[in-house]
Amino acid sequence: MDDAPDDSQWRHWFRTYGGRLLLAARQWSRSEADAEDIVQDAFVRYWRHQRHLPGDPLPLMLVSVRRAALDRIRGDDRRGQRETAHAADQSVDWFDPGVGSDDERRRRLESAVVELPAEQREVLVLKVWGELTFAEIADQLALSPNTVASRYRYALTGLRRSLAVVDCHG
Amino acid sequence: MDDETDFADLEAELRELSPAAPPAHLERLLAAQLDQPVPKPAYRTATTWTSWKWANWGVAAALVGLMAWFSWRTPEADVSMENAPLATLTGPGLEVSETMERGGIVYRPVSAERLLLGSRVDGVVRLADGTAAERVRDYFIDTVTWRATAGKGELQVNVPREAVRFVGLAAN
Repeated sequence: MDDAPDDSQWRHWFRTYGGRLLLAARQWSRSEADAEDIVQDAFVRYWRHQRHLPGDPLPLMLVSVRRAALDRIRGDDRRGQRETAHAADQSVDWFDPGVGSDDERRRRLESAVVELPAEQREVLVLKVWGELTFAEIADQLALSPNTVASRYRYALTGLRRSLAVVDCHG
Repeated sequence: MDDETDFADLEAELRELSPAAPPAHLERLLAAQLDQPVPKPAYRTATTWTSWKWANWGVAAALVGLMAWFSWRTPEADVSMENAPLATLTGPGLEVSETMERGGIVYRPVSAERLLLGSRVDGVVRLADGTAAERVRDYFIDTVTWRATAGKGELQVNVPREAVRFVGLAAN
């Protein structure tokens, strides 16, 4: 990552991290539009106020995404629960389409990730694509590291089971 | 490693999934927002010497001064251990005489009490006549209550006291 980036570099940053931020935002939003708004708020906040902070920028940006998501949830709660067709938003592709002979298995893995229980999926997303440690995830989600590790293990077990079932019947 | 807990292959497979890039319109929205100047924070405190918000400090100081003046004017505030009027305490009944005036109000003593806090034996001493006696030190709190001759004002004065007495020892 570049040191002391100037304002013209934000596009490079956004193209590097935007996909991961949006994937994380989807875990805490009710719709794709909400997730995009969250990423927008979080990225602007990060870029204007936090980008000069030392350390790896991805964890900081993910914290910013989480805060923006919580702000939005609180705002929605104040305005009354907004029922949104979240299931329809899951039709949005969360991952780039794969190319190659193993496309079918990749597609099944993507579906299995999307269908995981939300509390397992958010840990999986932060660990694998957010590249956070269990301690960092625990800090962000206000959970114990043991709980985070357990949820991650349950997620992987669930994914493996889903893939095995498809393999048996496929 | 146990097959159930060894997820290295699965984790590697997951990492090969690349999160989809954000839509182009999101980048356009960001560009529009980041091109705008950063809004200045809305300060809630005064930032210039000409701000009317400094008047708050003046109001606060005036209030403190007013409270101090009122507490000084209150008769109870005039009474401290050093300034306490000397009452005449005599005998076990602690008869108190005299009157005093504070802030234009005349007070008259209405009751006096003596509370023995404790006693300590200093030791055995020999008196001038050659007899032996214990020297005992007593600690008291004398409380004198004064009431205004007009109105319902009341003052209470607590005076710590110490007394020494000699107790003769029975001769062998």
